[in-house]
Amino acid sequence: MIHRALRHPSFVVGLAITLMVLLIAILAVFWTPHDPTAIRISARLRPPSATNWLGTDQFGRDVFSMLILGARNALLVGIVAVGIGLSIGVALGMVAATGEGSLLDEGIMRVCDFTFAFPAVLTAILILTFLGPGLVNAIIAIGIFNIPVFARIARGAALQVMARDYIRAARAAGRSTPGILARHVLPNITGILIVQASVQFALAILAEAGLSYLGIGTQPPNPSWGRMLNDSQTFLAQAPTLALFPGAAIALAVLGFNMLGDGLRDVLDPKSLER
Amino acid sequence: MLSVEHLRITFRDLPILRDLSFSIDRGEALGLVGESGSGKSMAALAIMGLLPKGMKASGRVMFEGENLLALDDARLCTYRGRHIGMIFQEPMTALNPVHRIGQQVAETLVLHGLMNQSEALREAERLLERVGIDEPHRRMHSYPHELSGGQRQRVMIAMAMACKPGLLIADEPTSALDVTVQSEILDLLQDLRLQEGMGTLFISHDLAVIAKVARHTLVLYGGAAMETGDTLALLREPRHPYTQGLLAALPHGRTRGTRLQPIPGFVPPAHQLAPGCPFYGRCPRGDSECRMRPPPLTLAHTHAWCFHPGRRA
Ligand SMILES: Nc1ncnc2c1ncn2[C@@H]1O[C@H](COP(=O)(O)OP(=O)(O)O)[C@@H](O)[C@H]1O
Ligand code: SF4
Ligand SMILES: [Mg+2]
Repeated sequence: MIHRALRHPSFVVGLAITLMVLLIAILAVFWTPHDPTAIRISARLRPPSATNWLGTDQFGRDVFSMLILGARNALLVGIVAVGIGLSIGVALGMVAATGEGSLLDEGIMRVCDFTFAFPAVLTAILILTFLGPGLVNAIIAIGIFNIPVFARIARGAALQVMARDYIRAARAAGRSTPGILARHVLPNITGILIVQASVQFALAILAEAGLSYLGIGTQPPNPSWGRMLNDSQTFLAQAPTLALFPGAAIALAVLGFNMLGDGLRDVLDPKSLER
Repeated sequence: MLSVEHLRITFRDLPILRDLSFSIDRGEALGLVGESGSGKSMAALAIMGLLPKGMKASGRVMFEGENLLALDDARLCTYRGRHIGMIFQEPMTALNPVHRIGQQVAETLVLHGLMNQSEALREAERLLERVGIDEPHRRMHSYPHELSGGQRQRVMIAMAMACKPGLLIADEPTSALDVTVQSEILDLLQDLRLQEGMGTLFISHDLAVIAKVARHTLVLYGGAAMETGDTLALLREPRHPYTQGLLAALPHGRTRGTRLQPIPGFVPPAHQLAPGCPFYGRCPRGDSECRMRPPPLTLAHTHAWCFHPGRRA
């Protein structure tokens, strides 16, 4: 399987981009070339140079430092929001699958259908107007929108697995339903969940950028790619690179996770749900 | 040890199994035979408490003094795998593709609290050797897809035997295998039964297979018992027209000079069965009485449920 993976171009490129973004984000936790919140009006809107690799913004803040801290925030949103969606969604989906056709199953799936009826970002905006703006609330909003996605996928995949002969054999060996879910169903649906998780990861990064662009995501002085993009608009004529860098960062990260998901889809071949 | 009494199964008010009774003692093997669709698997699943959704069982399944039909699922889990083992027809798909062979054999022992993990793994290796897996130590680490069908069925047998159950239910355990592998597996099951003293319910559509392994045989058709008795007696001189038909369809049938004759027609679905004898319609001796009333039990060297039992006409 590893051989197949390493010969899959989209997987390799996606993995490389993802790892790069990840390493940069980890680096940003410990070190940035400059304090990304330090304001120096005297050095505002500088072009890229040896001291400020990607130049400075309208407050004289170092763009490179902001960008890599932005990567950290983007990944944080992705990890926590997808984590919320995965854990709650998969649990709900598997419970629904075990009681296929029951009231509980119907209930869970109707709620999922209901949330699907709204566009993701609109739902997030709606939730944020209740919770108030901010990074943590944005993560919660995006996480909530991820729950029905994973619930549906987990339910469908679990139903397929539960019709397998080895599930009947496991029951005949005395396994209870929770034991069967943990021991037999979950390991056989992880492939399909991992693929979906990388796609949702890209969507979460995009959603956070969108919310921050609208000013209801990450709040200043905490840097975010979406807000950097918004801020840059005013100075587009004087400093076009200000828009270029966060835009490219968003595109690259989203592309990376999507390609990784695409590659994983082929490598893990979750359609067959088997290795 | 196992005594099935007046077992009935219905699916949306349709009879799947009509009033089936039999018993199996420790160390004894009962063969359950009948064409595909006659209800053999449902009878087995009813004993395990694993009937598909929507099927209802009534009557009694007495196992060591306990009526299994009256137990809830949590109590049944302490019987399944522990006191009653089961193997299925499809060895290619009955093992979980993501877990190693050794682990899958060992986990039944851990599940029922008989051993801790490391003891169970050691026992699993011993079991693999016992069921005739070559290089058991190496095979412990294999995944199911690395094994042939026959080897996988051996692993399934090792899993079902792990807790030394008093009863083994084998539902068409060799029907999906090559003829040579088939007889190896039959020998193994026979050997294990004699050595471990388990009772065995051996299910097959093939009377020739049943003849090799079971002292007693019960012939099932359309969810109803047709004929039962000592396997030899049943093969030598069947009294029921359906058993006679099955026998005539065997490639190596004992009736000299007769050619292979499959029974004309096919097993009717449950909703098309008349209130009388299920075999009515395909039976050469059927008359209006057979159609309207359930046939009576007639006793001779075998027990047959039939209005017109006896020698082949
Ligand atoms: N899941 C199910 N739901 C409804 N009917 C079923 C189901 N499985 C089997 N049956 C019906 O039950 C009857 C007996 O089937 P089965 O016990 O599998 O036969 P056998 O094992 O003798 O081939 C058949 O008429 C079949 O159509
Ligand atoms: S009862 Fe009648 S129909 Fe049924 S097997 Fe006997 S003779 Fe044939
Ligand atoms: Mg069957």
